[in-house]
Amino acid sequence: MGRATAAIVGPGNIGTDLLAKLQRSEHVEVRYMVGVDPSSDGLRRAAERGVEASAGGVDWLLDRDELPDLVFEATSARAHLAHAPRYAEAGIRAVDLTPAAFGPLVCPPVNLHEHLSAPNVNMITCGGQATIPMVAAVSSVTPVRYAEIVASIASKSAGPGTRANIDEFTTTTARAIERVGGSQRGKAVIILNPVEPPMIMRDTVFCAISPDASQDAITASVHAMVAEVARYVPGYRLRADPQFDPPADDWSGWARVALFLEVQGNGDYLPEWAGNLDIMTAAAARVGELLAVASLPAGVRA
Amino acid sequence: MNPRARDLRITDSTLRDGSHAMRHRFTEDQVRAVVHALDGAGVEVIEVSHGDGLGGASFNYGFSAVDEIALIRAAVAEASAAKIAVLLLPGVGTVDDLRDAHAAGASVARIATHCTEADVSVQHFGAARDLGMETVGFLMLSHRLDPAGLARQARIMVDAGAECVYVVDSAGALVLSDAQARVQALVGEIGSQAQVGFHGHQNLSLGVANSVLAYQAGATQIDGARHRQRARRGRGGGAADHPAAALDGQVLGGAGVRRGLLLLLAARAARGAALRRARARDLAAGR
Repeated sequence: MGRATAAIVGPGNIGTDLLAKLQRSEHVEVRYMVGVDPSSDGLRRAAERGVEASAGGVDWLLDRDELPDLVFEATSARAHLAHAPRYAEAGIRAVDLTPAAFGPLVCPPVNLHEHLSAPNVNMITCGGQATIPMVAAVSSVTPVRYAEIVASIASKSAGPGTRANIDEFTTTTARAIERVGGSQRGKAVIILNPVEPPMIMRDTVFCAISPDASQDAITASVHAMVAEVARYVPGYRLRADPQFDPPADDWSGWARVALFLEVQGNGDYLPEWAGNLDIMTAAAARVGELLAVASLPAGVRA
Repeated sequence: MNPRARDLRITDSTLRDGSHAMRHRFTEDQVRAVVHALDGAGVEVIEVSHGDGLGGASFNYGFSAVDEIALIRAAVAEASAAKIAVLLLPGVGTVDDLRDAHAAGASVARIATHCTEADVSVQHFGAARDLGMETVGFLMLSHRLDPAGLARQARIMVDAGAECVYVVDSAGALVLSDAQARVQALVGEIGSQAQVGFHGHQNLSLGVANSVLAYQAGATQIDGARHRQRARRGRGGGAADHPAAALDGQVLGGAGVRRGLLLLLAARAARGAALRRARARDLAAGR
């Protein structure tokens, strides 16, 4: 039984970094890199790496004799909404790195197992991939009334798409904190920091918890989840042990746990400080691998 | 002196930037009292929001005692002439928050970004204009860019729909000519299409002097806040807005600004008295 075949649609920075990661995969083989601009550097780079590259767009892809099992979409929300029904019709499963949220929101170590047969899954946001595992780690051992995340990223790592619609980040991440992270309510804040040299992505996660919650159980769950994420994002780490605060006068009786994360990228194509972009491509590659493994006959699964 | 001195519009930020010093504990009664006093004194724009702008209530920045939309609604109900403004930081607040504030009666949208990141405000200016709100851009921590760089960022905001762009000295780090040069650069870049404003802080005791220089350099909107509202606790963002009331007619001397500044003197007294009365009522009620 061979590897699952894949196409990457969108040969920009994200698509190019994703290609580098998937070319190390035992379970996914990238056959096609698809763009719309013949002068794209990303298409040229993909061709140099032995991948069939075309500026013919999704029409070209769907015209191949051998269609891929998986498609990774790294274009825009608008483009993905147009492409998604066509992939579905062709029987190609889609991993969507855009904010389109056409399919269910997934975070690999948290809820991908619920969506292994979904025709289309969405990778939420960079801040979501970094912080939702932490919210889920806390909510798996104690009820979380409210979770709030603050993602600080280097200005240079926020592209024009993110900048033109920053509300998409805050609202999508907040929704996923609730639906995927398991918090009753969610809030997300993003800070673009222009400091030079560029800063590594930092995330703060606050969860409102019962004053009686077991701090040892939360700490253990958080450390276990950090190790799980670090399997596919080696630069994912806590900056300090979880910090617990008793209820303050304006917290409506809830106590708080605060988690401080740093996400260093793998430096494949994107620079190491762009951990926010790296965690998207690493998580998408992980989803691709898990989908590929899940679709193999049971006897040959690892 | 110009034959006809320029008008100067003062925006009072006691109920927004001053909210930091209050740990975001403003009550509806306090808001009504302050708005009543400012409005009665003739202040034209009164800003009401969480200290970190709409949606700022959070673990990270501090929760509000009273939902800011309720405070905005109270301010709108109390004001007879003054416009009620709100602050929004893209990345913290959202267009949905702005819609809620507009529905509550706010009519001026002040959209704030770090001074190098103006392009994250484009969608919010668009939304504010679509709602029919007056628009103001806020380039925070303006000391972090040189005048020419700051002017380029102001251009982005004006192209997105800002009717005025402020040089915001969030850290109180601009020293006299630094403030003036930035205002001049903005006037040069956007002056034919939009106004320029200045928001000073008092960290180096230069907030008032910088505001005077900003006016002389062409700024037509200046922010102020009740002095002690900023100096008392120093929690949260910029802990030292300049005392608007200290910008008196003698300092500026321009005939055109005297009206605005005299009303500020009146407003200063009114705000202080209003807050004291509101606190006394809170104490009497055991709050």
